[in-house]
This record gives sequence, C-alpha cells and structure tokens, in this order.
Amino acid sequence: MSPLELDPRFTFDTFVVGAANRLATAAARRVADAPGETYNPLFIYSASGLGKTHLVTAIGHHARRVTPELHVVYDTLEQFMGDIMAAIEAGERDAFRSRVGDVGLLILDDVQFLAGQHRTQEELIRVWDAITARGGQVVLTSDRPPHEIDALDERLLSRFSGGLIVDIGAPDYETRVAIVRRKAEERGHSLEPGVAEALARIAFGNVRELMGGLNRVLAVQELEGRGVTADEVPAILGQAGAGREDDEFESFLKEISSTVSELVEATAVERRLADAILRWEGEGYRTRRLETALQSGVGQDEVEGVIRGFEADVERLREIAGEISALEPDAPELVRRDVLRDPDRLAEAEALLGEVRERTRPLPPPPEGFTFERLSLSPDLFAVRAAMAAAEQPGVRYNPLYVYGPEREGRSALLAALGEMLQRSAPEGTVAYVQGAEFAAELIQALERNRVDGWRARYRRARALILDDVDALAGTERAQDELFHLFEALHRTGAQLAFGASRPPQELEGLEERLRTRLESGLVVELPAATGEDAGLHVEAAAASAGAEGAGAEGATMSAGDGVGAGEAAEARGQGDEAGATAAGARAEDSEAGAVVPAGPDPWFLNREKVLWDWPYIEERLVEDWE
Amino acid sequence: MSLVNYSAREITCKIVYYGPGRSGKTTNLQYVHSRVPEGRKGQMVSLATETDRTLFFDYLPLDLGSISGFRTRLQLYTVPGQVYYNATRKLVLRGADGVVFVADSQREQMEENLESLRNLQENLLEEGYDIREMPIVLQYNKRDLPGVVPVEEMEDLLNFRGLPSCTASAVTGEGVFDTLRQISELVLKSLSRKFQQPISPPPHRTSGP
Repeated sequence: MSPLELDPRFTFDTFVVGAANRLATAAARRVADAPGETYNPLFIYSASGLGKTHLVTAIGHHARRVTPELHVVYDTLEQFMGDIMAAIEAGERDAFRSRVGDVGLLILDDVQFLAGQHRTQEELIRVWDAITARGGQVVLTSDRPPHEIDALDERLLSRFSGGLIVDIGAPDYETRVAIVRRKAEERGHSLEPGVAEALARIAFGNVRELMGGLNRVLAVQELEGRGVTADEVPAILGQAGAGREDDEFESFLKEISSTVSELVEATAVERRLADAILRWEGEGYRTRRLETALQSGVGQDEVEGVIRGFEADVERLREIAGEISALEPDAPELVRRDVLRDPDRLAEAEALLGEVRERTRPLPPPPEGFTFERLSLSPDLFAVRAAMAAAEQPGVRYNPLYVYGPEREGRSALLAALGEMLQRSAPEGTVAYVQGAEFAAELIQALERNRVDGWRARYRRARALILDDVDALAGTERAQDELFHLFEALHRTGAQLAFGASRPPQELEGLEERLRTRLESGLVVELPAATGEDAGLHVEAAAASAGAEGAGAEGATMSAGDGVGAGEAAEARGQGDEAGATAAGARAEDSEAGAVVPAGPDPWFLNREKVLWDWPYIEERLVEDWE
Repeated sequence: MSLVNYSAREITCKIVYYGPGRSGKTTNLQYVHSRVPEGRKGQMVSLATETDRTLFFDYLPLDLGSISGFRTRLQLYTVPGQVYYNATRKLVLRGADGVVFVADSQREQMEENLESLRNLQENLLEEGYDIREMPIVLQYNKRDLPGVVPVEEMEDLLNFRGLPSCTASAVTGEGVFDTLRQISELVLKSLSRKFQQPISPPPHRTSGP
C-alpha cells in the first residue's frame, strides 16, 4: 500500500472559512480532534475546486499532530482500490487487509468513481468494516452526495450515510475577497487597493479558477514590475471571467447564494441551536428539546441556558451509562438507547441506573466466623449431618433443607456454617444469608424506591439462599409471594436453599400453603433443644474481629446454643452497624484455648429490635434520672 | 410549512406568480424550467384547459442546492388568471412568501391588470397577510410586442405603492431571471428581518398547494 503524502500547504490555518464552508470546517475540526468518536464517516461533497481536498488534508495533518501514533492514510479512491486489486491479484489479500486494519484514519478522495464498480465496492465494504471495527475514522469526499452516486451498493450507501454528510458551497463575495488576499499574502505579494475585490466580483466557477485569475494578476505584476490596478483586472483576465454570464441560472444562483448566506448568518440564535442540534445528533443523542426551542423561538438571552441545560443532562446520561457499564458490562439496560440517549428522559435513565445498582449490590453474605468445625453442636446430630451433606453437594441432596428448633439452640449458627461452607465452592458473592425480617424489610424498601425488579434480580443470581427465621414472614403477603417465586426460580437453577424457623412448616401460622409445601419438599429436620454443653457452638475469632469496636461487641460472647447472635449479626450488617456485625466473631480469647465457649453474658443488648438505640432528648432524661 | 427549518437545515420559499389571464405567468415558469439544469428542478406540473389556459395552477419546484449548509428550495406557483377562479387563487396564495405580479404591457389589458391587482390585495387581506410586509415584485411583461404602454405610464398606473419592478419578455426569456432574482432576494431579506426577533410561527402558514 503506497498512500499519497499529505500536501503540507493544506492545513486548517491556510483554509479560509466562510458561510459556504463553515459547517464542513467545523465538522472536519471535530473529526480531526477525536477521530472515530463523532462523525464517522464524515462525507464531504461539493463541486470541483471548492476546497474538499484542502479540508480533508487538513484533517490528516491535525489528527497526526493531536494523536502522533495514529496511522493516517490519505489516498484517492482510484489509487486505493488499485492497491487492493493489485494485492488480490498477487494473492496477498489477507496481508493487505491486516495492514488496512491498523489504519486509524482513512481519507479517500473522489469516491464518486465508485459508480457502477461492484467488485471495488465489495472490497471497500470489507476494508471499511475492518477499519471501523477497531474504532477507526473514515473521511470521504465526492462531487455529489452519496445517494446520487450511480449504482452504489445499498450497504455502502447506508455506511456513507451513517455519519455526517456535509457540503461545501461556492464561496460568497466576502469569502472570495478573503481568499484572494490570503493567497496573495502567502505568496509574498501585495495587491493594489480594490484588486482583490475586482477579482472576487468576476464570476469564476470555483476557487481553483479564482486562483488562476490571481495567478495571472501576480504574473503581470512580476513580469512588468508594477502593481496591477483594480480597473485593469477584467482586461488582464480577458476571457476568463466572461462567457459565464450567459448561464442565467448559474448567475442567478450565485447572486441568491450570498443573500441566503446573509440570512443564515444573521440568525445567530437559530444558528447556535442548529449547530448544537447537529452536534448532538451526530453523537447519537435525541435533540427534541433543542428542536422545540428552535421552533418555539427563544431569545438571545435564553439560548445559552437552554443549551447548557441540555448539555448538562447529556453529561449526566454519559455518567449513568458509564456507571451501568462498570457495574455490569452486559447489562440489558445498556441497549436502551431510547432512554440513555434522550436528555428528556433523564429521570428514566436514573431509574435504570437505580435498578442496576440494586441488582448488582452484593448479596448479604453469611456471617463470618461460623464453620462446621467450630460448631459446638454434636456432629452426630441429624440436623448437623444433613447440613454438612447439603454443603458437600449443593442443590442435589437436601434441597431445600429446613432446620427448625428453638431460637437459641444454634439453628442460626448451623445455617451460618452451612453458608460458610457453600461460599467456599461458589463464586464470590453468590451465597445469600438473610433473616426473614430482613428479607421483608428489604422488599419494602425496594417497593418504596420503585426498584423491585433490581432487588428481585439481585437475589435471583444467588447460587445458594439461606433464609433464617421464616417465622418473621408469617402474615406477610408480598414478601411470601416474592419468596415463593424466588424459591421456584432458584430451585430451577439448582441453587441450594436452606431455611430456619422455630417450628416445622406445618406448624407455622400465617404462611401461604404453596410456600409451606415447598419448604417441606426437601428435608425437614429438627435441631433439638440443647442439653448441657453439647448444644451450642463456640466461635473463634474471625478476621472480622479486627473491626470489632463497638461497645456491644466488646466482651460479648456467643453463648452456647446462641442463635440470636448470628441473627443479630446479620441484622446489624443489614443496618450497616459494624459493631453488631462483628460481634459474632469477636471472641478470640476463649476460643484459642480450644474449649467450648462457656455461656457468657447474653448479648440481648445487641438486638436492635428490642433496644432503643436513639434516645430523644437524652440530656434531659439524664438530668431527670440524676434528680 | 416552515420557511427556515434549522433542524433539517432547509430553506423553502413559496413564490406565487399572480396577474390577469394571458399575462404570461406560465410562460415565466416555462422559461425558468427550460434554463434550469436537470437535477435542479422537479417536474413542472401544469393543469391547463383545452385552450391552454391555466385551470388550477402551475407548480415548479427548484432546488438551489446547499447554500451555507442549508438546502435551499424555491417553489414557484402560478394562479389561474381568469376571474371565475378566485377560490383557487386564494388557495394558491395561502402560505406564499412572495408574489410576482405579472402585468400585460398591452394597452387594452390595463383594466384587467388593475382588476387583478385589486384582486391580489383583496385576497392577501382575506388570507391575513399584511400587504405592506408581503414581498411583491411587479413585472411589466410582453415588452417585445409593438405599441406597449411605456414603463413610466405603467408605473403610474399600477405601482402606486412603489414596489420593485422590472420589464420582461417572458417568451424570449428577457427579464425572467431578473424578476426571479428580485423576488427571491426580497423574500430572503424579509426572512432575515423576521429572524432578528425571536421567532414566532407566521400567521396562516398551512400546507396549502
């Protein structure tokens, strides 16, 4: 592949911007600043000699300067496709494609020559896809818009039209004057007063012809060693400017063009809004709000506020999409472009984010520090053996496992140990351990925030669910309903389910029949009341104990047969109370001896349900007590 | 119809050729049509009677291409000149952005010119236009015929409002594009003035013919 060199003279600095090419220039600059990110492809069309090549070359120069590592290829379509065909004939098609795949910016001039060349079009589609698949930018020029290129493949047409199509018109009079002056200056010549204006008044067909006229004037100045006056210009140009006046329509068009340019330039507010619409449409955002402002008419003083507000909302939408993507790269919400690209639906986008946040929130893990080895329950107990068997073959043997027994006889600890064991083999964060009351409270909170879908999806990704204290769900409606559906969903996926309660399912009051029968459908096992020191567990200090700081945790000892502690730990965790969360694992001293933990002070004070934690007007009460 | 559609980046102007029957309105459009390159013009729609008089209206869409990033289009219409087609004239006039009044320069047509001009004013008023604001160009047509009324006399007779005027011979094409240029510039400049203030929807802008 031997692409053309970029002409060093053609940069943005040397391009004279006027009404006829302002839009194309703005688009070109944007593309050059961030190739592949905005208008891709950028399709520039115009009649010959109006600056297409200058503009796309300037894109190449600027992009190279901004991104030095960018591989820029500039070529004419004919040359480029000739290289492709040569590679195919030499049997190096794949090698060529891999070379092309590295291109970060492909600039193809004169793509109108694609007309009717089916094989070339086919190859171009492949090259195109190879480049754009890696985020590469494509810039094209043509003497006509894509739909006017004869026999253009529909796939190419849709690719050409997928970015921004912009034209360059004939420059108006003022721009022509500016071009003549700029070019004379670049060549180190000065023009007599009125010469540039006289040149600009002549009806040249395009800028190239205008430059030809300037060249003649400068040649006369050089050869004759004198300045050419404005009056001499028509004579020096001879036939150059004549003859064209015969074309009435072209002449009419030129005169009307400058009037249209004035009209467009004069309407600054509309222009500002239109540019904003074009920009954000190009970036794939809905611009209904700006269009409404355009139609209804906003004043000069309001327009900036409207656009700033719109852009702030777009920025927030970007943040939302970014956060969703970070939380869950495959989140189905990411395809909701109708919401995530519509600043008028920001509230809905926030709701989507809320759902994803809820769904991806870590599941409540089993409390730390509980293992089967450290349980002081006899390993021969049927309930313990069943739990261990369930842990060894999750979802296979006893599913669901239902353990019932008195509240303080180690039921929660046993379930926590089961959870700990399941967690060893399951992916991180997929074992949920939750108290019945906590489950119901979470649901109510999700309902309040209108995030039930996220809450539901969060639990449904569990590989194991352990729900203790089913008793707390008695009499609830929605919580039981949700638990029923969660049970069904998880059971279908083979997730291990375990439940704890004070009584067997048939004795639980206020439980829906369909839920009761499912709780009974696996293994229902009793954890009998403790007898002496056998019934209970001891807990060694877990890593979590390092964080035990709360007064409640200090000195708290998990008593034999204590189930409440675990429950409280879970509940306290749910509340975000670190002291409570670590209480269960905070007894290092006793356990180091390897002895069964003797019954210590009952940590009743940790129970958030029974203790009033926040005293209103505590000072007054203290004074009152003191008195 | 929105004249300047910034979202679609389009400018569309509707120009109506008005005047008495047989004054040369359709001939104006035919000449324009003959001079516009293919691809710039749509099909000229002409609904005529058996005697070639315009029955309903002529319609010629012109695409001036992209100017300053705006796709600019002109829609040229004629009205039927015969007196009994007034309802059609009003319909065609609806939504007009500018009017070319084509007057017949033959002396025997002066009364009809005046009558048609009065009719134009009445219809504009009825359609809710402010005559003082409506861009109008007077075209004194058929200057190639012998014995036509001198321009000064026609100015005295018809141009009491001091409107821009030009002479033409639509059959040969003389003055046709000059007229079109004048009315187009007037329309565009009137738009420009309107947009100096906050935009409000223009009155009676409905999608008429």
